[in-house]
Amino acid sequence: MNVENTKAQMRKGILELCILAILKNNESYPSEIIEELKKNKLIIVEGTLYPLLTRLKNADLLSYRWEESTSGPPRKYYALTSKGDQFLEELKMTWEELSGAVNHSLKSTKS
Amino acid sequence: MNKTVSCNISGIIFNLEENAYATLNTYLTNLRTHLRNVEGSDEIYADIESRIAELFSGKLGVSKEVITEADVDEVIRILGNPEEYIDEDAEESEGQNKEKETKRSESAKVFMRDPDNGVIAGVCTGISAYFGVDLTLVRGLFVLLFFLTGFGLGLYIVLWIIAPRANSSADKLRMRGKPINIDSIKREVHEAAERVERYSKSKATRQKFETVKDRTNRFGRALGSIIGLFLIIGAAFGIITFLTVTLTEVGIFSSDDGERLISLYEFSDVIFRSDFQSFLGWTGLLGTVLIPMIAFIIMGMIMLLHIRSQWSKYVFILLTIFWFVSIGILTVTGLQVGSEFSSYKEIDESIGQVASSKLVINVPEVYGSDIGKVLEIDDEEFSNRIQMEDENIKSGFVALKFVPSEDSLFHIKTVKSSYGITSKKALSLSNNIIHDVHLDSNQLTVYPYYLFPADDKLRGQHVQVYVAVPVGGEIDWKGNKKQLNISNRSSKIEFETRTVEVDID
Repeated sequence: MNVENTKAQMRKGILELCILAILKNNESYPSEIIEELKKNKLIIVEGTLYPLLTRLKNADLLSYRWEESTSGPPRKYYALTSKGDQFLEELKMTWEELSGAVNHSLKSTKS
Repeated sequence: MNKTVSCNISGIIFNLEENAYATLNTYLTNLRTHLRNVEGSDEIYADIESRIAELFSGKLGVSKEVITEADVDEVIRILGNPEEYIDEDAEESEGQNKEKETKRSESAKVFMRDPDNGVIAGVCTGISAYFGVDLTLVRGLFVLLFFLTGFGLGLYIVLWIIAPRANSSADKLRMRGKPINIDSIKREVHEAAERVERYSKSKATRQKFETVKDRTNRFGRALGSIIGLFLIIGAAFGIITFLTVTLTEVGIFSSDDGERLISLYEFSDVIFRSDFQSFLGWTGLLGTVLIPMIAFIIMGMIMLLHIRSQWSKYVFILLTIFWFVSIGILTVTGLQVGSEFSSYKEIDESIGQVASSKLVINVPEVYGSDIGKVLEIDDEEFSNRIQMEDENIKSGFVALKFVPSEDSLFHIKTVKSSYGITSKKALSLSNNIIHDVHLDSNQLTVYPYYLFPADDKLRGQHVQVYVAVPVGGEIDWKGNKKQLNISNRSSKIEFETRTVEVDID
């Protein structure tokens, strides 16, 4: 079993949650989201983000608007829809349960 | 100094160095291929292109106007390779069903033909890829099948019709059952690119005509293969037929036991004067017939397998020389044998005369009612009974001829004739013929065969029995008259003023 692979799988699972969380506070365009994710080492290659955004958008969890840029092509600014907001809340709860459970099991194995 | 390519990425014009453009183009092509089965692929593609434009914009400034290959490499590093992000994504997003489907299409082999790497339609290439067998072996087997049964041709055509054509790199990978991911496609594309590069380098000066030439070459190759195949098949057929007729026992003459047929080869023993002449004759004949066949087969092989080599030229020159030598030998031998037939002599021998009004012709049963195989030449039928009996040749071509008698008696005579190199030789050969015919009162016994020494060879020795029939004379038959070669076709013998009815049927 490849440890890199497992890591990537784990990261990917929570990536949607993180994107929704980032967009909850303020609308952003992809490069900003990437910056944020990179800071937390949640993303290795940028390419990963685009299919994910498209999928979330197609699922009506996100919406976007175009904005002209001074230094390049026009940007897509993404924002959470109300459905996305609900979805985020649910994911958050699940994450808290999970992280609690995972942390707990990790600790109990340690001791 | 580097050439630049200007291109539009997401609505912005960029100047890229040539190799930077090539790298980016490959990347985007790979991305497109990979996005094929992903929902919203156009949007994702546009987003990524937009991101590339953004990253490029960041690279350029007042002192830098061109995107270099290093820039492209860096952008690709930032974005990651498509297989790093899209494959996993697609699997997760499309759920169980899609996942299964993807896996199957990745591992299952598909039988397809690959005309780009094939000779005719790429069927053999397809089989080779599908079963992982060496291509040369598959082609060899097909050629063998063509030869042995002709079944190969049908099989090939059927496979040609049913097998889909492999068009894309992905198809070609599927043929081999290789997993289809961006990596393997890239490898394939890379290999193809290298091939093209090598080709164009070697023909740098003729680069312009490359595509046109390629196409005509392809057509020419396919045509060449078909012609080559036909040459091989035709020549092989010719050789087999020729050898069958000459060497095996499909000869036209039966041997003395009546069971076995004498082959033309054995028959040649009674034609040629000496072993040496026989050897020359056969060498000439075999060379004259077989050398062109061999040349056709070699030519066919060259066309079929597209062999290009220097030696073939010398082989053909050598074969041509041998061929002319063979023709020469055959001609000389033929003339020699022919000269043996240049003179003709016949010996008349009176058997006697019969005063009775009725002549009984007795033909002893030698061949039975079965007159054997009949050889038909120009509507004339000949019993094909030439046999070897000890040191003698036994021939069944005794002819009987009725002619009008000048008086009231039956007159019987035999004429033995032969050809020879000189009149003297012809005469002695005629003398050597032994034919048993005797007259006992009105009973004429005519044996249906004659003998002559095998050492005399076949020189057209012939025996004819003449029966002169008087007016009102009657012929009675005993035995099997069909064993004789009766030359009178009608039962009427023309006299100067009258005709006589003779029962010859």
